[in-house]
Amino acid sequence: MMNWLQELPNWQPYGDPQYFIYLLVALIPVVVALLFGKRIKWYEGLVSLAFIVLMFAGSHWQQFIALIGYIIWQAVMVFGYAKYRQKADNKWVFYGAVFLDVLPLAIVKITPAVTMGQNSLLGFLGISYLMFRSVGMLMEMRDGVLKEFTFGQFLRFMLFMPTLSSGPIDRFRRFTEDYETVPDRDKYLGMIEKAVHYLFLGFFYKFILAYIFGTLLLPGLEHEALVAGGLINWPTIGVMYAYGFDLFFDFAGYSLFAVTISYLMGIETPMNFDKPFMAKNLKDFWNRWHMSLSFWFRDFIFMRLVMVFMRHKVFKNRNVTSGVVYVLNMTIMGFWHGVTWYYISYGIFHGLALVINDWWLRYKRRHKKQIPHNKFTEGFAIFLTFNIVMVSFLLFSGFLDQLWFHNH
Amino acid sequence: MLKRLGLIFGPVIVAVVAVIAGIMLMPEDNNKHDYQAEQRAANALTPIVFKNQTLKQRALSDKQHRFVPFFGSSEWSRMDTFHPSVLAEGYHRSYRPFLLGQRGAQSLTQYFGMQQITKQLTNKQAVYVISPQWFVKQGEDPNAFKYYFNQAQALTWLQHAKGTTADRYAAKRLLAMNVSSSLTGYLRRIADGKKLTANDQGWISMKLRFLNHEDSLFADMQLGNNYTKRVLPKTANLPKTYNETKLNALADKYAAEHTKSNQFGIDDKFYQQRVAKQLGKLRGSQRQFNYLQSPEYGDLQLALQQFAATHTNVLFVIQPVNEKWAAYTGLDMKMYDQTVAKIKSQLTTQGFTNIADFSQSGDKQYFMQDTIHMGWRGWLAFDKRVNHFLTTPQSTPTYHMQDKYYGHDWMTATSVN
Amino acid sequence: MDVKTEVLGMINDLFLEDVSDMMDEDLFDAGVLDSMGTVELVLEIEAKFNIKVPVSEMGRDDWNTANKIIEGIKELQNA
Repeated sequence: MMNWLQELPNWQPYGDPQYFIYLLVALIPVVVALLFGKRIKWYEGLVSLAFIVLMFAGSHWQQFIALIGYIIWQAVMVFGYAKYRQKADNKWVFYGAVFLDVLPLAIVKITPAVTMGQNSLLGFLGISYLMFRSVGMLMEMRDGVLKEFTFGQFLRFMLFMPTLSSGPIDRFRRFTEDYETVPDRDKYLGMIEKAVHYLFLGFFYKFILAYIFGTLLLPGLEHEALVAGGLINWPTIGVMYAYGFDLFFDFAGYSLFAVTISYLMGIETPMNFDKPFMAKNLKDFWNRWHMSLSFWFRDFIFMRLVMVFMRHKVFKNRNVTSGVVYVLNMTIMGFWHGVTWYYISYGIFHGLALVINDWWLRYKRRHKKQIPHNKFTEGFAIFLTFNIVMVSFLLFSGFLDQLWFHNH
Repeated sequence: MLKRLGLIFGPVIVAVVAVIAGIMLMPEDNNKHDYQAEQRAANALTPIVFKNQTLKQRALSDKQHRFVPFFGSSEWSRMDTFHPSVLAEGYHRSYRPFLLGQRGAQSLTQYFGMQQITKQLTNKQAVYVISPQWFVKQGEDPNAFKYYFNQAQALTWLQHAKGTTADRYAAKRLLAMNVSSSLTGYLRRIADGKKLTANDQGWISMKLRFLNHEDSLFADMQLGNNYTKRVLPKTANLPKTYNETKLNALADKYAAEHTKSNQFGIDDKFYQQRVAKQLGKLRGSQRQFNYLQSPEYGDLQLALQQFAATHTNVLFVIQPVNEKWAAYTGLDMKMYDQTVAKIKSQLTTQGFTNIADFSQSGDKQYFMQDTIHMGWRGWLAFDKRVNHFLTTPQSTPTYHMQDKYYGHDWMTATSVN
Repeated sequence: MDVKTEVLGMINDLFLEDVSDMMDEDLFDAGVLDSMGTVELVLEIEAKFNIKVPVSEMGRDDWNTANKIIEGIKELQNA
């Protein structure tokens, strides 16, 4: 039945130069129409659909089935809860809806851990980003700020092609407002200008810098580090920095592409990175690194947990509350990355580091007069934050799993 | 609006045009012969050189210096004093090895690499080292394949693919390696036995023209220099004139100095880094290894098909395994011998009769440098056969290729009859 | 007491900052508010004015200045 899908070529998003050429050519009518103040919804839908199909075509066709199944599941959750919420507001129904919404992703994340690396058939590229979007909708419905929306709006938001596979994670109300209003010509020209800039910056990041760090430097360093062995060695330090830069330039490059294509379609998808290695402390870092994810966690997990704890006065001290929630929040993020010891410890590492960071900031505020603050201390803060982040990325990379436990 | 659009896209268009023009105006110069650069490429052992058509063509078409392609894999990086490149250099042989292949490279990689040098292979000689370890159940690892693969190899191949059994097999294997999506359409047509359209061929030759200019452009930017750093200095260790007894004695001396730490005759450094820490874990670890059933047999057949098409006279070398190590890890030597017999049968039945079979030498003293690679005495034995093959007149072989070697039956046959 | 005085008083009590001379400045950028502080302020507002503030509304674009917070409270009171 799915033969036709298997026959098609598989095009990974933003994978090679040809992908950009095909996509940009397909978008010309969209751009021209927007310049004249029109949005051709049917055509945009068609292009999006075609590129989504190609993303899962060929050997990935099973993922396409999983995607369709998942969208149906999410639609049932979101519209079911929307209908319920018009009449009542029981928190257990809300928790239940969120639980069921997250369930497929949880199965996908847990499956490899319990089956020695087998992937769940429910999984597909981008599943977690779809979950973020729909859970965000549920939360806003609970709060009563999101009430009415159509099935078309839901589908367009969930399946927005430029950001489907790896974000940035947009919010329904923001996205839909952009979509339903066509930017005026002056503003849109400004967006095109930015898009061109982001596109070339993305090329530089992903195809040059990520290539240098990830393809030219990293394999050699990993090999040397494995040969040297032991708990830690110099080449591993090299792996740490090469991996960290590769991770950033690869993901930031990808994010820039997603933003570029969004802008050309007249949607101001939020940025994902803001010079993260210039962060002065860890809190600042999370306001600059994978921003759409960390803001999602901040708004929908951190703040809500704090709210619950404070409302029920679980802890007497506000600093204890924030500390506990920091660790919980980041540990959940670790689990989300995958159920392996290194992702989870990456989460816990950041949670604990944020607690220390918070303590330091409070201490500093109380001793404003004694603690010097100048260009030099600021530079040192940036340097220290950068290196702590790099250590956490070494954990995140999973390389230590190879080095210590020889899991190749 | 148009003015603003012009300001936004103008520089982009100018830049794109300038880059394309720059690359296309760069002459495709495959006849520039600079001996030092050629030696550098011949000993570089990098995927960059492996993929670069210009570098390979320049060296292999040099009329003043005879470079011979040495196809193989990780053994080439064992550059000790008795390495074939060092011996050829030290004794001013009439040939110099052009080393092709590194860790993880197997026949499929070599076959697509050859597409870029078919003209240079025609009516010439070559050396091809086969490691029985290649013949694992899943064949070549797609990640390793991608590491040595570029689109130009496949596009060049597609220009000549006609839909023979060999072509269809190669297309299927390439699809299985999951390479660039832009090739999928073409490959599927070939795999299905259909011809490419004139339109397809037009696109292919246009892309190739661009890629080949690009290839030329980067040929002059080589990195590293194994030739001056690892080959030339070692020639000083060699006796002034070639003398087998003296060389053997020297090999024994070096080997004895470097194999003090273990009972397997493995080089100390290799042993410390790769074996010592996991020694207990490795005992019996190869008991289940089986090299008899593998798509690698079909991939080897592709390479043979290429040699037949270009009338290349090839010396095949079969690598031994360190028998002490094999005993420790429980490698089934009967299975290993059957594998060698199967490979040899595939070669000889089709007319490839120049075979240097070292499979029975894995227990000789100082023959192996580590677990599966020759060194010292092994390199000397290798060199003796290779030197003889390349410097004495050889009769022209006649090949008769058989498509059954692409068949499932052969790839899964456990005995040769 | 009017809403403005109450809100300024709350901010002063909670974060030890007097923001009466920067009513339109972004409180997140100024370092007065953070996610933790936002929640504290929301709970405080809910208790004092007997309204329910949706957490989704406390985003960084909507309730990010003293004036916007006061506006928001008035709107919710009249809703």
